[in-house]
Amino acid sequence: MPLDGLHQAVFPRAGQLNQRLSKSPTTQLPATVLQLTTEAPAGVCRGLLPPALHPVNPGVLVITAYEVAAADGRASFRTVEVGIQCRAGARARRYVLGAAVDDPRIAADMEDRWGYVSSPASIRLDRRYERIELTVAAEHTVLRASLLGPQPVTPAAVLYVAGLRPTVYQGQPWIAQFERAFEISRADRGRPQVSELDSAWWTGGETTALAATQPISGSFTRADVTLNPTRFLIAPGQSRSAGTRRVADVIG
Amino acid sequence: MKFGLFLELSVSRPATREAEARVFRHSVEDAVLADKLGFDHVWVVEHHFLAEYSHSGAPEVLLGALASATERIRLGHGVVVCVPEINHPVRVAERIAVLDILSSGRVDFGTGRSSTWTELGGFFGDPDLTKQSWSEYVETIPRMWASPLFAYEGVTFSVPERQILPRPVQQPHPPMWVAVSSPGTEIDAAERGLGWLGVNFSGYDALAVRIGRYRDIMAGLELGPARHKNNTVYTVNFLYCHEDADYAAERGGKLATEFQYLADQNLHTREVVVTPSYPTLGGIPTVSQRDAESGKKKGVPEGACVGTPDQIVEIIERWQSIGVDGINFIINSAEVLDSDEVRRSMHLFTEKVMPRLKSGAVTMAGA
Repeated sequence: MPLDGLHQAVFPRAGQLNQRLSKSPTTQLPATVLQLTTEAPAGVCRGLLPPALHPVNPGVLVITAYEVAAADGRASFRTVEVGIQCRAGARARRYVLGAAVDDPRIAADMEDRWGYVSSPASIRLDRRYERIELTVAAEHTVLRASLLGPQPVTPAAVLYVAGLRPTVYQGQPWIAQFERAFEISRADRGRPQVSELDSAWWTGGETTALAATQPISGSFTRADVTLNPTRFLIAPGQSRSAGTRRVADVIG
Repeated sequence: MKFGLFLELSVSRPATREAEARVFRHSVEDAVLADKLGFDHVWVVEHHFLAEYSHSGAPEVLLGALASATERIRLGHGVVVCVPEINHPVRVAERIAVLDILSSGRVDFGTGRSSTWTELGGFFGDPDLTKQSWSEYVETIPRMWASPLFAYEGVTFSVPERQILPRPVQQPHPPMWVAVSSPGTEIDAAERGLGWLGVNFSGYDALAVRIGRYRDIMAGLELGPARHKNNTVYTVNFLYCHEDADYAAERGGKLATEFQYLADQNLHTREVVVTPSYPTLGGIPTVSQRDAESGKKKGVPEGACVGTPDQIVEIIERWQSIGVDGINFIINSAEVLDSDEVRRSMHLFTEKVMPRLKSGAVTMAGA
């Protein structure tokens, strides 16, 4: 597969990989998960992807919000990711451009054990009869989006694809793959609506042009989520087949 | 055994207007050659917005040209997207009929519902309804041709009482097919008496089970007088035939790799839409280019018609042994192979392979 994405630089908010990367899964976090997909400008998406990754046709914006319930002495927390759908080789992936977490301890743990960088923000996930509403605010509102008209659907209809994040190890940029497993006990679907999206905030100042255009689909699930250890890294300037390494081979 | 071409009209980047025109010109030339060499079918796909993978947005126009440029080969409209936002069913009935008239009854009518969000979303089609609209199309279009007056009140479309004109030459109608990729579609096909038009690549064993299921249902099926049964299974395959096995593998591998690369760029409905209507990716899933035993990458997918004439005969006989009646070949992809070598491959196939498989061939019921 030829190189495709046009983004040559490492994102300013790339996570630092270290020897403390998680080697065992964090299992069965009880969560509700809101995922909204809309179309997005194709040229903007291509411009945000490193050469190793391929855009999809049309460009697709993916917003994923998790509300994890309190358990084992840990308080509940919320996290939101904004990314774009892409291909790593033939595989469907979601390239996360920016993330927000409302608990600084969780944010620090995610960065230390997964190289996963996020920004602090207040996050609200409000359930109403006719909609599920997501609001993310830092110094101002950076995301306001909803799932309209939620209706029950078979959990098998919901698909979550593995995510990718820009990271750095000893000065070298890597795209890290993070894999999560979902045991879905209940699922609703509906129509996505994105009323506010601060493109510059979510892309670390890379672009102001990332936008939600035609709505595609959305889901709201109750699931036990397992965070699996990072297994693969991709060199951003090489093809996926040539540039994929096992974490153990790079970091040890 | 029957053989056809499957024209995808792929154009790699940068898809200049000259490159697009060249691909169309070469496709017409390939179809004319196939007609002369004794191939049975040429199928032209319908796709919209699928950059590089397929620039075949108006297959009915290309098929009209092929009706004029060829003499005996059957013309497969494969497949018409049976979604009202993309093709109104009355317009489909009219187009198929005109093509059948102009080709003196050489049309095969393929049906499907599209597997990509790129296409459905582009026309604001509802993925939840495509299975239903497809079912309504295959039920009603033969009736449009059979009745002097047609009226229909359905879920995905309705038509007030009208004469649907013209009507096809073939009686009661051209052979009908459905694109089969996801497991279970063969049941939908058999329950409606439709031919199985395979559009993906699968292993021998998995396909044998599905063909058995299809034949069983077909055997017990009775259709009304306006319909005939098309109890036929076609698969899709790559073709590269050369006297040198290593060279054939290298060129055939290149063809398969290019095709797979282009197919991988499509955005399947299942990937982005939460709907029970698309339980699998459908369309063209990943072609396995790994050796079944060692798992090592080998370039040429298992069962691909790539190799020397003897090797290809052996492969086709294996497909035939599990109940396949015909194979449609992808002979090039985005001009990754030179046109001359594609045609040498077609010539060699028809001289050294086709005669050994045509005798005692399986007959197409209803065709």
